[in-house]
Formats: sequence, C-alpha cells, structure tokens
Amino acid sequence: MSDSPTHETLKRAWRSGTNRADGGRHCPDDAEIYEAATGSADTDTRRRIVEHTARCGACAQSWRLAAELERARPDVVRAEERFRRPRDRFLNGVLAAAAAVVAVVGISLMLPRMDPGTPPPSAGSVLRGDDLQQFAVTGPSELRLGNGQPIVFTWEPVPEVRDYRVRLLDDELASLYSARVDTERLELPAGALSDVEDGETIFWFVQAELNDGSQRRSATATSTVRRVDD
Amino acid sequence: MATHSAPEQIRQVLERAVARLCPDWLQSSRDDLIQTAMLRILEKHGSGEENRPVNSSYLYKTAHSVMIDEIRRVQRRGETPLETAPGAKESDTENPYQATVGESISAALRICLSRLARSRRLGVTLYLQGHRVPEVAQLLGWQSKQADNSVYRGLSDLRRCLKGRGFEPA
Repeated sequence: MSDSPTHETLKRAWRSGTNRADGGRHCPDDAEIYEAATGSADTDTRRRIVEHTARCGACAQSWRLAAELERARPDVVRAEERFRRPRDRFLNGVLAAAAAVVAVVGISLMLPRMDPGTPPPSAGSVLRGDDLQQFAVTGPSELRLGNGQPIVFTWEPVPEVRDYRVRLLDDELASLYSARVDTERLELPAGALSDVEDGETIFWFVQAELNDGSQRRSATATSTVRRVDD
Repeated sequence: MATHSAPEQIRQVLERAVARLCPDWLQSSRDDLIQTAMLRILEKHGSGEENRPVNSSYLYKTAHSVMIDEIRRVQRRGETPLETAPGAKESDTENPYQATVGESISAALRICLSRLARSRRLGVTLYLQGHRVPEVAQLLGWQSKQADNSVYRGLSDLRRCLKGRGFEPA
C-alpha cells in the first residue's frame, strides 16, 4: 500500500497525540511491549498489546520506540532472532527455561540490587532499585587521591557474617579492585585506583557472606575520584 | 545470536541504541542513560569479572526501557515542550492553533479507532504506528490479504468517522 497524503496526515495526528500522552502508570511492562513490537512475543500477546496501544498513548509511544530500535539493529542479528523455525523456538524455549533456573540461582548469589532507601548521609550517591535485603554503605562521596590520607569505605554491620567482599567498578562496569575483609571497613591500598582519572565516577558495593553460607548485598554507591596531586 | 560479554562491547551496543532513540531534548542526558542501562545489566548479569554474555536483544530491550522511563519521567514533570516530544520530527512542530487542532484530531482519532471492528482496529493501529502492511500481517499473525483488507477498510471506516466529527484529513 502506498502512503497517500491522507494517510500521512492521519499518522502525524496519531503520532502527535501519542507523543503528548501522559503516563505509563497503567501500561504493560516495557519489556513486554518491546517483545511484542519486535515480534518475539507470541501472537496473542502481540494482539493484546496492540489493542492496548490503540487507547493508550504512552504505550503507543513505547511501541514506536521499540519498533524504531528493532529497525536499527543489524540485519543479521534480527534475521537470526526473528525468523527462527518453530522447532528451533521450541528447543530454545526448553534451553531457555533450563538456563533461567540456573540464572536465578546464579544471580541470587551475585551482584547487589539497587538500594530502595535513602542514601546514608556520608555515602556517595546510592542508586535506587528493588532489593529489600540490602544494607547501607557509608563510603565517601569523593575519593581524594594523592593527599596522603587513606580512603576508607565503611558499611553497616551484618549479623552472623563470616566476611565481606568489596568490589569497585569503573564507569564501564569493569572491575577495578576487589578484596575480602572481616570487618566493616576497607582501607583502599595505595595505587588501587591508579588508572582512574580525575573526575571519573566509580561504583562500589559489598557482599556479606554469612555463616550459614547465604549472602546479603549492600546498596551500590557511586563516588567521584578527585586527584589532588594533579 | 550475537552476544556480548566485555563491558566495552556492551557499552558500544547501548550507545548505538540510545543514539538511535534519544530525542534532541534528552541529548544532555545521553551518557546518564547509557550508564543507567549499563547498571541495569550489571544488576542482572554481573560485572566484567564474571563476563557473562548477554545477547543484543537484551541490550536493546534494556536501552528501550531506560529511555521510556526517562521520557515518562520528563513528561510527567512537564519538563519538555510537547512539540519536541520523542518521535516528533521538525515538520511536526506546530503553532498554538495547530496544536489545538491537532489535539482535537488526536482525540477524535482515538474515539473513532475505538469504534472500529477489532481486526480493523488492530491493523489500523499498527499502520498509524508506522508499520507497513507486510509487517502488520507478521505482527498480528495474519495472511497478507487479511492484513491488507483490515488496514484498507479500517482506514476507510476511520476517515468516515472522522468526517462525521468534522475532520477531513487533506
């Protein structure tokens, strides 16, 4: 079908209206919209979400962005993922289910979720999220390097703890430093952040290994590096 | 399926995705959006130490989610002019009169759309969203003929309804 001016006018009016939409408070999950718009959800789900976008501007906008993003993906990737044979999809589904079980176990032992609460007064910016089992960190918001003063990270005590693992990541989330300690503080060794430049942000968090083998995680905090020796 | 494990690879994919979607009025937040997306991935897949591979689809989905969250946040706060909302092109910018008329047409469009038969409503909605008929067929699981009919007849119904409400798209 060719686009007549009339149809283009309608499309513009539609796009304009949905760009003005309030909301998102009652929308399906973003991931669900993305999967529907990119063809990876099942047909019933796609139809249900299209039906929703007909009356919900916020979701219509979300759908459009997902579709736009899908068009931007390299063809080879899209072709592999969108045109898999049904049998492949079934096998992949079985494998995905198995992988999901492994992933749930694995993720539960891994990195911290973000902090739902208010950042402690002395901490750097603490990132938000949905985990309820976290404990607070109280590190410096600025890491001043080169002034001869030690940099100390601290956090609230966790009952029944065996030891703590502290991790520092750079702004691309590559590991900068990692250490195990048995107290609620870590003094950063000199040179641990030697590759980090002035003004860069680092992320850090603590995992508490408990006596019963379980783990708890801290919030993830951010701190800015300041080189006073430069 | 393309997978990525190194943080720099992941970041590159996210940068491309965010660049594709990011409207002009959010350009100043672009790095923050990429960083937020990186952190979401970190939460689920671990840091660079673990090097757990993630596929492109997941990265794009994350970028989409981060972008939508930010757009909704900004829109809720009314921090951006409506004319420059995401997805709007330069030609979409309107003066106040056009904006008022546009709002009326949009409202009428929504009402008329809701009155179409379901199959036509689905087809027309996707068409208005920018999908071509073959994509409409694929997304709705229809034969191309069915998609063609639904979109054509749905658009015809829509225009008739709009005309009845005093709008006749030129």
